[in-house]
Amino acid sequence: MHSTPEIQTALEKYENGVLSRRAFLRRMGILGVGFAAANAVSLSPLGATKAWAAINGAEERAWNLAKTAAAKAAKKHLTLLIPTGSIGNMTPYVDKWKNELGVTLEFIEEPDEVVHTKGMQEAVAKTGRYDVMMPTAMSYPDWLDSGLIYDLTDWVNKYQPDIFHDEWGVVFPASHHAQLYNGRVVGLLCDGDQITLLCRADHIKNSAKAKAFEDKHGYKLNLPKTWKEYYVLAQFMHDPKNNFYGSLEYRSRYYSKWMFMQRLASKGRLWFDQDMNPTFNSPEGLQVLEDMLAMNQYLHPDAFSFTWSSNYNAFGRGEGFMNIVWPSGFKYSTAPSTGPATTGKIMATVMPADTLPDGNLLYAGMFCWGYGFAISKYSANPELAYAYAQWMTSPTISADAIPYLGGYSDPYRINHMLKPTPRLVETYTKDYLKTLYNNIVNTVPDFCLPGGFEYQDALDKEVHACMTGEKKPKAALDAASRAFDRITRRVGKDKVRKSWFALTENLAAPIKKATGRSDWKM
Amino acid sequence: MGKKNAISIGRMFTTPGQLVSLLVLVMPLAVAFYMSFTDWTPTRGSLAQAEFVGLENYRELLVWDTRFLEAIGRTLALSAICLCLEFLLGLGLAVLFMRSFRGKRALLSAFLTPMMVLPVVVGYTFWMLFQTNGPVNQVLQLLGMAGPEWFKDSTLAFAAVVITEVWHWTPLFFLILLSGLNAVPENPIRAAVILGANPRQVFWHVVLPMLRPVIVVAFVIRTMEVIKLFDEVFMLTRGGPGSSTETISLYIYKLAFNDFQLSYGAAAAFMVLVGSLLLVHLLLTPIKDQLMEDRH
Amino acid sequence: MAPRKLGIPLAVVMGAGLAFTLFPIFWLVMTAIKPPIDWNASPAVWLPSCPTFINFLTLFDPDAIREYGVGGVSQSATAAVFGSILASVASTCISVCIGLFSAIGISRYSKGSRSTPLVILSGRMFPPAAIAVPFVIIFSTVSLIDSYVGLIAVYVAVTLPFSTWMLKSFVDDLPREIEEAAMLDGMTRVKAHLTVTIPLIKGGLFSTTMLVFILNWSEFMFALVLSYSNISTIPVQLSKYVTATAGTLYGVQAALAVLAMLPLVAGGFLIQGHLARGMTFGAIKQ
Repeated sequence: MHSTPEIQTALEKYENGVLSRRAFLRRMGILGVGFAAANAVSLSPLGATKAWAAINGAEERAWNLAKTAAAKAAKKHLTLLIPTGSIGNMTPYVDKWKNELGVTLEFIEEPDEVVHTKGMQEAVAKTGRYDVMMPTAMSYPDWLDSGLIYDLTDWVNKYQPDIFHDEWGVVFPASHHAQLYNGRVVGLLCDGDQITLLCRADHIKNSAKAKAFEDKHGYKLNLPKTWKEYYVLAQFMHDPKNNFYGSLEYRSRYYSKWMFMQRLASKGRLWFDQDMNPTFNSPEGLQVLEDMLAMNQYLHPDAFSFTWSSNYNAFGRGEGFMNIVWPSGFKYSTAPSTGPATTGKIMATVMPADTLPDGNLLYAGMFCWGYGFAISKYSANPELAYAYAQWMTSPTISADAIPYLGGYSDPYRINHMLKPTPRLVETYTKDYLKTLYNNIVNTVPDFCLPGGFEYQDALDKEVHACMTGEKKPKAALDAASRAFDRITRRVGKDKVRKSWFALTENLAAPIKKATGRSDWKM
Repeated sequence: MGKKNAISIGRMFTTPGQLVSLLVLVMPLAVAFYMSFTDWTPTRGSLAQAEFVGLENYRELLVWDTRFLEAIGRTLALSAICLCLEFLLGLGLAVLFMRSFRGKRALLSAFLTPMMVLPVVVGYTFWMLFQTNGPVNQVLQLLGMAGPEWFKDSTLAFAAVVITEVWHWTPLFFLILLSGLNAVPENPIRAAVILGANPRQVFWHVVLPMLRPVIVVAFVIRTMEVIKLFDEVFMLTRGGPGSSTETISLYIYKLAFNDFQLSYGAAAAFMVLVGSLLLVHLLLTPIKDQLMEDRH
Repeated sequence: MAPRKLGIPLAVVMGAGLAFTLFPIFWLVMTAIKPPIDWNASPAVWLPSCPTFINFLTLFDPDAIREYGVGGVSQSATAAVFGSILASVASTCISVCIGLFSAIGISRYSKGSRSTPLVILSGRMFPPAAIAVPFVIIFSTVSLIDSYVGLIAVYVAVTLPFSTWMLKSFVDDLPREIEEAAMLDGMTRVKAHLTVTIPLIKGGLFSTTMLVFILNWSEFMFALVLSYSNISTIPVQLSKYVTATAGTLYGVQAALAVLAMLPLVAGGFLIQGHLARGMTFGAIKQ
């Protein structure tokens, strides 16, 4: 999108009060400016002209780069490797790229767990078939080390995607966890994957239940603030006879580890200490497993086989009181087509806190999964590919792309949450966007490390074994801890340790303090 | 038209097959074999740059990798249970089919159908059947039992895999044993009956010994396949809960295509190959002579 | 000795066995004709509330299912069906042709043919996941990755031992005297094989072809690993029916599974008589 004289005139007129906000938005629409961008500009405290230049900058720079790169490209074609179910956020722009740049976009969809596999395979096969790849943040370290993807830092410095901007950048610390490897930018985040807690508002506001709850527990029925309250609420609301369960927490393979990591983070523990010893094999880790086991009786019976989509479906059918899910879960449970029993009945809150030894509450979030764009080293048009990634993730385009229901991108930039467009508000509600912001500022990272997929699988396997009763908590954590040591040894301790330090350098202040990260010495 | 000519014709006939096997079977095996002695993973560059580490991968597997050893034990246990059940059910069914009844041909076709279903589809179908609110549990409820959560409990998940496998491959045992039974000559049976043997004795002492080679062949064929069991489990449990249904093939897949420990995965595969060849060889020993006569 | 009749108790046993055998297939077919609302209903719905072919239509026209309020399906199975047919048919033909010549060569001209075919065993017992990696390495150097030529080459190689040994068992059954008589008539050896041997094992050739086709058609792992974007097969496509809005599309998946099953079930019936031999590499003859 380029600043034509017409747009300049419209901006000035709006600033001088000649155009009403509505007229301005309409005018911008006629001039081909996306509503998201126009609206952001109209609301900016900077004033329309400055805001336009600013918030639109990343998009505009990307577009200009795309134009230059497309003109140079021999084959005006980009191939994108994406996870199945994510295409809906990208299809609305296919025509624009075709018509205005002559670039055709081809999407190759693979099941979510296969994207990492296909990428690593490409590192061996070097076919050049993929230009842009959309992995989770956990893939970057191994992909970069395999020579599969570009270190984007130079492009980022040159074309300024504004990923660290303090008004419309990616929210800190996700901006660092999900885009950097050893301090270098390796991917552009396009999906704000954090988990938050959803509750059924209709049950909280039910006065009979509220009274019964207060009589029984001595405090008001409300959204849970701590894990203890969460447990009490699940117990209170659990009503299996009516196919209504306390909570829909995941207990299935691949997902269980995140439930464990989330609770562990709430207790002020990360995954390793400064010498790469696993920290979960500790009283805190054991307590987490015990808490999760105690919770099992109040979970949906399918919790042990939930995938993200079957969880969303079950919650949308009204089969539970609480759910711990990604923001797309909120999006689905509030849309009539996917949440027939929950539309208009959802409240949300940040993840519950836990009490630290010093008596303070620690709020921590979990930034997990987190898709982003990486650029293949074997791409014939890497600059064009990068331009696409920056354009799609720019503050303005992303604000426009996220609300589409056919994909699972979630808000990740500051402007998505704090200065949302009407469509974002319509999809997520103002309150929920605020909740997302309050949660994401306290998130801790996934295993975005060399060998990350091995670590996560080893942990998940043992947590899952414990949840299913195959192993006692201590035995499970001992086994996970042994597996971690083995992975660290095989990948190379120095290498992992270096990137672990880099990964944990950026944490919210309370978490940095509680976990002792602030005292670590390389 | 001499002997020389015959040999050259024989060579001409077999060369294309050997060539294809060499290029597309032996070569990859050789690459995998070489790989298994290096420390190669894509994060360390290309295979050519990989360091030669001798038997390090094999040592790591045997000494440190408990998950590998567990997967092997589990696969053996699973194979033993499945094969015994398949054998017994298949034998029972084959014996039933030796009797006369109407619609035999159609029933035979019906009983053989599972074998014709794609493994991936089998896994997917049983995954639906074993859902907590799925039809299996509905039937159990009708029978007055509470339907369990199949994929939550390690024993039940294992049972689900066994049931799936048994459903899929009992027809093969049935088919092989049926052709074996059909081929049993009448004379020894008549002789036994004349000597006063009751039908049960005839079956145990006359028919079954004659079936031995056929039974061994069935076991060998199924052993070869069940050791590689992948598609069904992949769709059904992904090896869970924990790793209670992780077969060796699933573990090797994880090593190769999740962790990309390619050289390490190759080493694991070779150990499995050698182990299964030994196993098959052992199974074949008792009938080796008979088998060769058969071929004549 | 006339076979004994099946009594009522045994008939009941057999009936139970039949129910166990057919129920999963019944379930799959029912799922394939269920409208979206019944797919994941809880408790599960046995018979569709209103049977529909929409799932089958959706396979070839992803937007068809919009009329049931399910959007965002971006996958069309057309390419996968085409790919499965191409890869299976081509590789089966090649494998059986080469296998036929090898079978004649080994059966008629080779002395060591009676030893246990270790190569077959190795080929079939090596964990496919591990041999797939060398394929990726080798194929990427000769640009065969993500191409049907590559996939067909793999399928030929994997099934060749199978077709060779099965066909060999049929050739072995044929008395040498028949070919020798033809040769005495003045035919060359090659011509004798082409005009006498091959027509005489027609039935075996057909059965082998069907069995090799079944193996190729069901193959999952190699297709999963070797396909990027140019090639696709049905087993790989099956795992791709997930959308963000409706989750897993059970009905559509089941429809594709039913489609995939049909040729195999039909083929199995056609060659029922040779099935035992085929499944045992010719070790059992009937």
